[in-house]
Amino acid sequence: MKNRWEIRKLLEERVLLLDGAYGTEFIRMGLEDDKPSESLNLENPDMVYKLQRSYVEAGSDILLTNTFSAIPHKLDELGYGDKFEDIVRMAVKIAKRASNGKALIFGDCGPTGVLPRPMGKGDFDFYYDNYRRIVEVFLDEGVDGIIFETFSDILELKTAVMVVRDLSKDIFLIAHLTFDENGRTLTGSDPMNFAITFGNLDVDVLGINCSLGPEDMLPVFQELSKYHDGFLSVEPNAGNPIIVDGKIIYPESPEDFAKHVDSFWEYGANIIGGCCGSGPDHIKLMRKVLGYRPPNERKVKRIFSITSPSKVVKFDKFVVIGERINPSGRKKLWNKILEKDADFLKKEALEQITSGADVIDVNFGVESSVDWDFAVDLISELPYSCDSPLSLDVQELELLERMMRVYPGNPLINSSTSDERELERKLELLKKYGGMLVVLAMKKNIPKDAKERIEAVMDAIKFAKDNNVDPKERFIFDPVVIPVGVSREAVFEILKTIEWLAREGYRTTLGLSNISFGLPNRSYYHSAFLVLAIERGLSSAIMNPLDNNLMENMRAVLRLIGKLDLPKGRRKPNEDSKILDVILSGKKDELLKIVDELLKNHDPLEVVENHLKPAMEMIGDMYDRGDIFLPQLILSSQTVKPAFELVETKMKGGKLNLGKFVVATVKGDIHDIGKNIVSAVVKSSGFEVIDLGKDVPSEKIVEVIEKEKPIALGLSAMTTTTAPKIREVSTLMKEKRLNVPIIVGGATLNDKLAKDLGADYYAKNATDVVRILKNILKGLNELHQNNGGRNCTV
Amino acid sequence: MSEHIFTGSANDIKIPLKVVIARLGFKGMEKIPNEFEVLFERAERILRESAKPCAISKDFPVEESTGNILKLRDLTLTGNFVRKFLRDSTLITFILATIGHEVDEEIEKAHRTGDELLSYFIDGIASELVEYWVRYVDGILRREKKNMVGSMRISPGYGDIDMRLNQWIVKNLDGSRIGVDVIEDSWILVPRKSISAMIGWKRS
Repeated sequence: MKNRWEIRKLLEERVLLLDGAYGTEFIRMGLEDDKPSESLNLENPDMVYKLQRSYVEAGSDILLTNTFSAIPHKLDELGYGDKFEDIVRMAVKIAKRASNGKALIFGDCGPTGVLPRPMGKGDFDFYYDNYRRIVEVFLDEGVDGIIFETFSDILELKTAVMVVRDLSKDIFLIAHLTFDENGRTLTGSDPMNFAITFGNLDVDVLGINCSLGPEDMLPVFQELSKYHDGFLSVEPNAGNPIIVDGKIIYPESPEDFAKHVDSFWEYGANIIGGCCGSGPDHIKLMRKVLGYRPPNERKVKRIFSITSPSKVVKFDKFVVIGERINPSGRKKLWNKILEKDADFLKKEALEQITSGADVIDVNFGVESSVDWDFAVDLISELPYSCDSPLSLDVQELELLERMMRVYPGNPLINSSTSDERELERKLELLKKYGGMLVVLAMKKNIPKDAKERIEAVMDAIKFAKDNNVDPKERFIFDPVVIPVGVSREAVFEILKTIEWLAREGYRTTLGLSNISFGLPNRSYYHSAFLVLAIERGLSSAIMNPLDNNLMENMRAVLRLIGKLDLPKGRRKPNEDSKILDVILSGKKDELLKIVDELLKNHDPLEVVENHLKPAMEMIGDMYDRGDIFLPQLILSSQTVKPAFELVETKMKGGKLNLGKFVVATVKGDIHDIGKNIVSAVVKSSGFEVIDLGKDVPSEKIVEVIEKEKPIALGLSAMTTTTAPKIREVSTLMKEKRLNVPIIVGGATLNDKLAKDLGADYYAKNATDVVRILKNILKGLNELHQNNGGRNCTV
Repeated sequence: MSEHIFTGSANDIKIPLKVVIARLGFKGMEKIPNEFEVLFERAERILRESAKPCAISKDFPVEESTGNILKLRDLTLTGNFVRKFLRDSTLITFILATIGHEVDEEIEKAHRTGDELLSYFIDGIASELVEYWVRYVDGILRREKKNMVGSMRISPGYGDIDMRLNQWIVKNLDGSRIGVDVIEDSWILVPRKSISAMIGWKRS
């Protein structure tokens, strides 16, 4: 038997192979339809042994016990409830005999089949009791690890994880969800949400199984791999099932199935196996392809966010935390809490969400007067009802812990002071149940100034680090708002604290309404203070989303400082949005007709400035936001090109030109698709493009720059071996005193490398190049104006 | 030193649609969007008509193996990736695969005529076609070497494996037989839809 730490070490050395399916294989071997596979453990143990033995001989490193449906609740329904313990114990014994020391034995456990409230009847206690019983038997029989697989809901899986960690800190644990083709579980979670929520729990491996064949599962797995920095596992079905002669068949052959091993490895799988329809032949071929290779290295995106089952709220944009569920000063709400009127509270939450809240703060007021069971149930159900994460604004530690246990996601915990004793208790909860913590910039007393606030914050940061918690990943600091009526100076001290925190890279929040306590016309003070705080770098606020004045002011300031897109439609082409639709759908002839018509009544330059350019700018923005795909961007560029040419024929100078842009793929590089796309998109934005092609010698590039005097040079280099050519070009240009900005792009480049190679800008895609060119142009125009309109050379 | 030359038909190489959709940038889509279907079919037809899949594989015994250094006849392989993937191998199979020059010409032709989207589609599907062609060759090699355990297939440029190895591979496998050459200085393979790779084998 191996312990958790030995298995983790093994996973760092090589990728492990799981076994294949049980249910579909047993049916193939003759199991009657009306019997559960688990009944075989008692009624036909040889059949189970035979299948498991063939998995071991095929090369499985891990053998699962035949207990997927051996949950007390399920066995009760199947009429085997009284045999629960014998079935599970026997399953472990058979697996151990089949393995004969050659494979690890993992206790396998599927979901109860009961959805959580409000969709079904399941709740934390129901799940907890079921999983406790089976996990106790697994541990007693001495399995090497436990796997929860094919779960379709975050709460049920989280409860199962809680059970294991309540019973053992040393058992190896795998947690799997199952996703549909759109990358969602039955209750709406996506892989990013799964990674964020379970990444903060004490689980060894996260993974995906069932529902999809390898081809469909790959993009879902890829998404999980992008956001989870721990071990990963995957078990696809052998294709999507088809019905032949009334029987369900999984069509993917072992050869086709094993082909995908490389792809899953590439995206970081540490454990690979098969689910429905896969058998020993699939596993045997997978062993052959997989060999004994080490895991692939990968980069993971860390996202500061909180979650509900179906929503991830990231703090890279300003986050509105709705404050309305707080009975302070709201007698009706307080009565509804006492009456345990969950529907009223859900309505309150939904009203705030539709008004623009991202997160709902829940404060029960005088907690000692509230029914705790009601409060805990509400916290478990509300995220499903309102689709948004919650901020648990709770004082009593015991109540908070109960809520965190049942919360279906990664909640915001509001709050802890920076006092070590309180922080220590909250950190314990954070480590055990996940979540992000609001930390107040104060210890016992209200701080006098920014200095005292920052001192408290620094102590909290140090304490967190000493306790192995990264404050940048788990804390949001609250500078502690004091009513302006109490101290006007405090306003500046709070703003200074926010500024310091933002500069240091920490997220911030505050209770906005506190600022105006005791004043008339409070909404104006809220808006004004929020604007000041956002300008200093505030990342979220607990505020009233129903206050329209406040919300509009917030949106306006966020737009002014570039943290929110301008309202859609504002920059639409003057005529109507038809031009945009025509360009996006690639209708060249129709666009030419529209432009021809416009040219009859408008100056050519006006047609460009008021119609074509705004449309292309909007398309660029849509691409950057992910509203359209790259092919649509390319198609739009192609479509608009003849329209620009038509306008040019009507211009006096015969040339429409924002500025010249020279572009080339460097010497030695023949990969020019990226450069060609850049060329097309830049052209369609009104620039003149001189495309020198691919594999272009540095001397030739410099010669053209000297002759054409463009506003910028674009260089594309795809590989590490051709990237140094950028430096060669840059050096040659310097020698010739050619002060033309260089924009570079290509698969192996990044911002830092670009600068190291002597380039001025790194562009990650074609729209980036357009943006950079516009900035260069703007700079040149300003320079031109500053020179009193005299010509300036570039 | 066992050597094989493979030739195939582009029409027989199956590429999962999901993979192509992702490669072309249609993130999260289940199928090619309707408005691009005709162009996609055209690009695929041009590609399958112009592609000439062929490959060479050749085995080289490992003469000396210490830590992260493997010595073959006139080649020393070293680095982290060699240690991770090829350690303890007794034999290395080098593979050189391509789908031919005509594909490059079709990509270029579409670009020259201003049809960037067609050029982009042919290029994207071709990248997957050559990948799945190599997977096919890889599968044959693994079935042949039933009694050995093969490593992951790795390529020059991957991790810390030097791109310069391409020159050695092209020379020692005589890439000219399938029309594959390497660009001096950058060690990029020509035609552009070509792949070089190696698999390490140990006794099972």
